[in-house]
Amino acid sequence: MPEAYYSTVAATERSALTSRRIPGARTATARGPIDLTAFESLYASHGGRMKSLALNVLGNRSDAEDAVQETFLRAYKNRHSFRSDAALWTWVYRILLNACHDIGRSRAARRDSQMVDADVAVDVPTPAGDNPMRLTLQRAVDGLAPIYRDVFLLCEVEGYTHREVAGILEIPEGTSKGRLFEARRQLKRTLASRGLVERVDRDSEGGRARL
Amino acid sequence: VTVKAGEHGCEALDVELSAVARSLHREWHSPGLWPSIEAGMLAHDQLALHDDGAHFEPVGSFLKCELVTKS
Repeated sequence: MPEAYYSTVAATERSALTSRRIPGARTATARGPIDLTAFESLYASHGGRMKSLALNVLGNRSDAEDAVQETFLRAYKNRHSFRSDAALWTWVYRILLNACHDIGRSRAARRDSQMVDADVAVDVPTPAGDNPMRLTLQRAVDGLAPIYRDVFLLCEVEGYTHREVAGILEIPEGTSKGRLFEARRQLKRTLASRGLVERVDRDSEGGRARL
Repeated sequence: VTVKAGEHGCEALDVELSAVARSLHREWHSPGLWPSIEAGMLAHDQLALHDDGAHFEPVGSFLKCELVTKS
């Protein structure tokens, strides 16, 4: 995993977590190989990227945090079903994607019944320096089928390798590569249709493409 | 972002697409999130400790339930 993706936010939260302990928390939950402390460590090391992934799936911070919370609670309740030969974090990411899909479905149903959900529509963070290309790409990613979107977000946005994505999604590495290729192809086509990418003609020397 | 077309134009486009994609990664402080998760986990443990194992399970049809006890 490319550690360069980590920001100071994750480091700060990690520091806050390790400095605060609940007496007896470990012994109260140490009924198996995975206890609360293991999940706390996982949150400290992966929480930032888990929130980012959930944000890109769900579109707003509130739902993203709900998804991460739901993920850890599901993982904790079902920790006895975790296979020790697998990596804990890939298992938890798989739960996260399922939680995101569940929340996304319930949100879609709620939106259908309420017509417009203004809070959701305006809650996408747009940091300074944001640009139309970025926002358009975000919308184009939203339009991908989940099997392509999940691989694109894990590989291109969060920086995981195909091997790691294969572990998360329980698919062969070749399938991960194929899905990423298809996701990129669809995204470029969508962006081109919106005029943000001009067709690049390999034979036209000196031509320019705008991305 | 403008990239030159030509022999390596498509590769440059792919590189630029990846660069913009990476900008979709965002992090923010959520100081209350882990404490909330932790409280949920501890609450689950408390429930499990006081649970005598008795619960209802559907049998055959969701309209029928059978009381299952720990023993």
